[in-house]
Amino acid sequence: MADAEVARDKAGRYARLLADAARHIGTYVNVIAPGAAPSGPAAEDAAPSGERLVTEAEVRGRRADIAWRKQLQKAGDTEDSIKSAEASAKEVFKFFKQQHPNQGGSATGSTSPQQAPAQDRPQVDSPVTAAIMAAGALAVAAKVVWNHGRTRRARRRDDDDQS
Amino acid sequence: MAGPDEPEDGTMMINPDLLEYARTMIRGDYDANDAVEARLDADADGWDGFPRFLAAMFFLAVDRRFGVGAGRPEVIKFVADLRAGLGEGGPDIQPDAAEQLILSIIDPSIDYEISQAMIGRVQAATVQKIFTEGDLSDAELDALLAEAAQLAQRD
Repeated sequence: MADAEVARDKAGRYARLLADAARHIGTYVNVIAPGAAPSGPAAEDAAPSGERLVTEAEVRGRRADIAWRKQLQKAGDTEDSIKSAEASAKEVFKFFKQQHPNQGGSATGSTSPQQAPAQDRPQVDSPVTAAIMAAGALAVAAKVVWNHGRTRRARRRDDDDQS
Repeated sequence: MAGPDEPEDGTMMINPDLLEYARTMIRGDYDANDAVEARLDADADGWDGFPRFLAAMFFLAVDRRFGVGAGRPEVIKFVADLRAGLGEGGPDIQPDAAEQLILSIIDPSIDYEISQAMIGRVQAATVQKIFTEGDLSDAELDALLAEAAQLAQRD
């Protein structure tokens, strides 16, 4: 019973997050190609277990917002560029790659690699799996939209260069 | 006027390659990570939004590991393990700073005074440790990264 409740909660949470992501993507697609993507309140319809799940997602979102605004504020207060965080994070990731050039998983050195088994044939009757597959589809859509935007940026730079 | 990657509501679109960069890093697929990194470097806007995406991953990692009820002793133990795992010659992670930054996620009322460079180091090392040790399936990791991207695109 507990497993079922966890699965239901996860399904609801993923469904709402994905619906939100779809709404953002739809909004963006409509910016670059008006009318190309449907827009509408899909999020509420996608959440199977009601207000509690909506509240949970929103609370997490607000907590993440608070953390990000605090970081931004600290950067502003000290005239410390947020780019410094980006540069130092990249250095850490490069360090991991240098430390473990031929092995995967645990770059912290405290555990063995955690390679998950590939899922050849996902069970689409699971709501969680279905939601995750939808996330994959959204990632593909996001890639298409990003590439479209990059093409527009390149074209605009060419136009600027010529003018 | 919103830019090409900024919808009219002011949110920023996250480059899907940033998710791929994080995914290959966490999975230890460094050859693929090098290729993605090169693509990001070659694109003038490739890394746009990365600091917030990293912050979102850090938030999800800490929330996954500690929830909202963990106390300072658990965080101190985690940071000690984190630093031990980095070993000598690794990135400089100040324990007090790392503990305070993690505690600020667990309890948003907690404040800190930490340089952005240290924040970036703590975020990267923490994300790598928690997601690497998390025994995540490919699908779970993809879902977490998608959620991080969604958080990073909030208004």
